[in-house]
Amino acid sequence: MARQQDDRRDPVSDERQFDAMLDRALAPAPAPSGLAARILAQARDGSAGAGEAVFDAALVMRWLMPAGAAAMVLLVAGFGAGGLLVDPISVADADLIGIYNVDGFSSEAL
Amino acid sequence: MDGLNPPDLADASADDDASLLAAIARGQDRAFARLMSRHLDRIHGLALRYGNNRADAEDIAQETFLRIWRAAERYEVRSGVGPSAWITRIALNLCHDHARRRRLRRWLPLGPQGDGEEDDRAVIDPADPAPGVDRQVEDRAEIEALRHDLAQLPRRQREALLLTSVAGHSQAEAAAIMKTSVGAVEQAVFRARTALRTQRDRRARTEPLGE
Repeated sequence: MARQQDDRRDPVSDERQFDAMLDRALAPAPAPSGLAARILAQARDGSAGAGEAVFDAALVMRWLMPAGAAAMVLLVAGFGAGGLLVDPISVADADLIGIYNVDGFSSEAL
Repeated sequence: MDGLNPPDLADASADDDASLLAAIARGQDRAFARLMSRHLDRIHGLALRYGNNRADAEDIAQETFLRIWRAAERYEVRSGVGPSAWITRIALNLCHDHARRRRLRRWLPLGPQGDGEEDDRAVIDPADPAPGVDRQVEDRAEIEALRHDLAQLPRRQREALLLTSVAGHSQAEAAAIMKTSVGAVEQAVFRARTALRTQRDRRARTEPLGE
């Protein structure tokens, strides 16, 4: 049997049924036990936010890797010929910090 | 919630939240625990119903309160946004950040970790009451479908509905959080409900009852 056959449904009770379903779909979802204690511990030890930053940096790093490698070869070739020393770590960090600041800290709230 | 629910805070007012934020700004972690006892469930529910899976919802709730811990002194009583709405706005912005990050993961060639993260976002709460097994299964499928439809709504409609239901805000507060007018919130909620209702009716006309 399909609902298609049920054309005589009462619109009022149907509306109530929809409201009830929507209420249940939007029902409160309590935080899992232990989350508050975990947040409190993180706030106390000051390690907040490190995980997100590392994750974003890793994400951007994977994205930049092909372009970064090519740029590094050009930089080393260019400056190396002139006897200049290039610090590859500081170049990579500059890229990461620049991009992370644009995306990661764009929150309007803070 | 971890013994952080003192009964004297059951009917706390917005003024009390503002006092707690001021205390948090001075580094008082007991005030921080009290603020969490009042808002953590609400914020977690908002993040989950926004369309995040359980792990992401926990991350968003966690990051929301860690940001409050770090930046409580930046809350201004005279800003026109109440403490509760301020907290919700932080959570909502983090929901936006997570959505952006999800899109980035899909776009970047990151392998299997980019997908499959929404598998459990529609998990039905075990506390859902239902009269019988068949009816319970049908209702759960209906609720799951509604949550799926909710996640597909245009962002403004979804946010207006979630803010005025799950997050427990008035339309005026929702308007302040969304930086829009009360009328726009009212209209967005109406459109969201209409869209969900239309989708549900469409399913009802085409899906078998399973009897």
